[in-house]
Amino acid sequence: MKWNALMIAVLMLLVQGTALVSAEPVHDREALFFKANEAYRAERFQEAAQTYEQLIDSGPVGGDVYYNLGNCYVKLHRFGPALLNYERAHVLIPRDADLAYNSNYTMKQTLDKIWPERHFLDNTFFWTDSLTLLETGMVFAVINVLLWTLLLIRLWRRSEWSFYALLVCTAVWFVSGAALGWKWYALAHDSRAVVVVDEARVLAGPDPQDTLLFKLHDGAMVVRERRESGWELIRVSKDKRGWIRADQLSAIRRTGDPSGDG
Amino acid sequence: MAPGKKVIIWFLCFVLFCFWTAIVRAEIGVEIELDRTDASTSDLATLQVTVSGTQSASPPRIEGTEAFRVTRGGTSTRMEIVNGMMSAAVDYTFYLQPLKKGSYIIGPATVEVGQRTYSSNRVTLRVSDEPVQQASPSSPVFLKASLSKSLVYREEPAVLTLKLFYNVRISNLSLDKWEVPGMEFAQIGKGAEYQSVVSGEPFQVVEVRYIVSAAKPGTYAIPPAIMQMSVYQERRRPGLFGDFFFGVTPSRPLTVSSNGFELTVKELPSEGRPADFSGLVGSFTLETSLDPTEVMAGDSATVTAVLSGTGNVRRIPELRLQEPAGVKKYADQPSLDIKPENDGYFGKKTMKWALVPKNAGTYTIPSISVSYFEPVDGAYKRLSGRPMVLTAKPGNITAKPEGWLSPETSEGKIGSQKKEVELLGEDILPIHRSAAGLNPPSMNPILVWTVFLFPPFLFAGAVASRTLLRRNRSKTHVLRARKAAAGFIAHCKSDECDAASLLNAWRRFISERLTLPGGYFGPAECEALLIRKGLDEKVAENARNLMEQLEYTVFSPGNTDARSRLAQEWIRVVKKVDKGLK
Repeated sequence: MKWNALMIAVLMLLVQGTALVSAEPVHDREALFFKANEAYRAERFQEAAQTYEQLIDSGPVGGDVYYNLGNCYVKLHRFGPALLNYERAHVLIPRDADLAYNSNYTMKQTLDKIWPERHFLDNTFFWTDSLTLLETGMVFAVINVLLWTLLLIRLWRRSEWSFYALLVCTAVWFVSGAALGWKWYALAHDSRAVVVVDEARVLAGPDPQDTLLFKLHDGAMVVRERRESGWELIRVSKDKRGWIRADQLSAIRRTGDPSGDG
Repeated sequence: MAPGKKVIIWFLCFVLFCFWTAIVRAEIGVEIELDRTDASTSDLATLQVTVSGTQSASPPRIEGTEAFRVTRGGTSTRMEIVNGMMSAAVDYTFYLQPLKKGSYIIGPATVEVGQRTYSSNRVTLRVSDEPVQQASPSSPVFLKASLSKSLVYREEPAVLTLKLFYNVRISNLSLDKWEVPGMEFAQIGKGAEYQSVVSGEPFQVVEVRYIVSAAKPGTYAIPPAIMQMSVYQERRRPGLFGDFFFGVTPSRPLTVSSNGFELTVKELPSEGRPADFSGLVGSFTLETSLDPTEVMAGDSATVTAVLSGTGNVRRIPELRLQEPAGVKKYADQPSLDIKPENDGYFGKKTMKWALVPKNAGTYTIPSISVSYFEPVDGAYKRLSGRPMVLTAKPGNITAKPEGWLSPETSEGKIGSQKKEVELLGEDILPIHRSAAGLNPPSMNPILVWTVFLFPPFLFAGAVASRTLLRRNRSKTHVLRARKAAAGFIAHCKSDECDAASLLNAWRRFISERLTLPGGYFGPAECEALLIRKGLDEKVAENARNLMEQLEYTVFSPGNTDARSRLAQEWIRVVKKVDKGLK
């Protein structure tokens, strides 16, 4: 009886959680989305961009909204904000071919030749580039279930095939778990930012009187290291670091989006 | 010692004593003084710190100089007697170059003498950002700048020339870089140094050239160039020791500025813009050649195209060669050489293709062409090479030139007439209109944690229940062992107790008491088993004897009393065994 009551309670929690997640003003958001699409079609790109921004501010959105917003900024010749939104879209729809094409096109329009830094773990878990965090988690979940099932089987039946299957599954479990952990960490600690002004001066210190080190232009992607009274210490490469005014940058990771997707 | 000498010595001692007391009695003071109260950002103010009453003070620390570039001008010491009082003083000179406009309070300056700290007064300096006064040719040092043109097209370079004239000794030259948003300044070479005559006076000239260009149309204000240096002014008259110390004074910082400019950048005209225009602006020439003009079929000839000129040379496009039918084309990697020249950047792009005719015949190679914008004429122009004719004689058709890119990677498959898809325009792909992509992919967090944590919990539960089951099983054995003796005794006291059943009951008692799986064991085995389990050897031997006696009794049962005694004897032994095994 006790077990039955517990199971019912768990089921009720699941149902209630699902209901909470889906309880959103869907119709208003859809109306905004279609309004923005219509403005884009009528080549009112500024209005479309504002509407997409409004939609984004109203709550979590899918990668398509960021992609569409990026398109608006390309049409407005603002390549920095365009790349920023394409990068945000990439987190949610990493395998979208249109996104890859438009992002490459926009990259070509920018002035600065910058090679984005890649952590060695990004190369180690290269496949996570093509997966969202949720998908990486689902892969791990499947392997997790498989591993524990094999362990359960081996509690009562220690056959040879289950031993080798367990060996393989354990290795895959560790790799997929580490990949999931890295994916989450990389998204939660993504310190990349994009220059969103025509020209930004990078100085030796957080003061306008400091020595000018180099200039960056619209769409240049940098890594933020530290913030100090309205200035950001940024890194373009190992030998190119400096301070830039914080309002000339926009962070790819939006505040409050620790993992990028569900 | 003569009395006269004694008097002189005493007099000198007196004088020294007076001097010493005068110095000791002199009051220590620190004072700062500015040579002006108003200055512009390009002016240089002189600040003098005077420490009087001592010569052993620490160097002064001056507060309020954060907004200035401070240069030390030197130190001088002096001794003076004022109203019969002698005093020593040290003058420190500093040159202050304001960095930004504002009103600044400089001071106090503090020095330390022994354990005490002395502070000075404060002075105020107002700094304005008024235009810097232009140096005139009458000055010993002046700076002139000139711009090759004040109206250019987008990305068309102009040359800015900066000349520093001087006829005094200078050092530590430094030039503040230009900062104009949207404009690029690139220095041409390291600069030149030569002599010139201005208003009849000889001057040394340092000349530096810059290429100036803007990527966007508009009117750009180029601010005056500001150059800083140290100047050594020659003395006009010999010093006290004649020519021995005749020379230069200590250096003095000097800032000079040039005139400023306005550069207007025009957009390229849309009228007459060719479809293949790549953004190339400047003056260019194109040369094409074919070598050799006659080959065997299967051998290669090289087409070379050289596009060179001045302008925005980084935009020189890759040229395209249309090969005639029946000729394979292998493109080489193009090379681009850029070097700064007096009129701007000079660029030279060289492209080569190897042409291999498959069959004998005469092939006409279409001319290579490129369009560019000529700022001098304000019009788009097209450069075209001359058509070339390649004659192929019958011969080898399998040769392939080494070191060239294969046709698969350059222009198409060997032997096929397919061409690379030509890109005619570029734009982004359209937006995604489906509302399916409106919401982010999400999953109920409870479900996520359930999927992650349920399997390990399930496993842990299974392990726990298995362990519990095993523990219960072992407990059953223990209970059975505890009750084994009672069971045997009860059997002995029952009416059905005979030798055979007693033997069986004994074996069951041993099995249960020792938690053995059961089975048949004889008296010797039983004794060994009991000893191995820690029973006293005498008790074990007694049990063995009784068991042997019981096996004998099975075949000669005897009377009831004998069986009863045997049973009583067994009860006693079993109790001993049970106790001994505990």
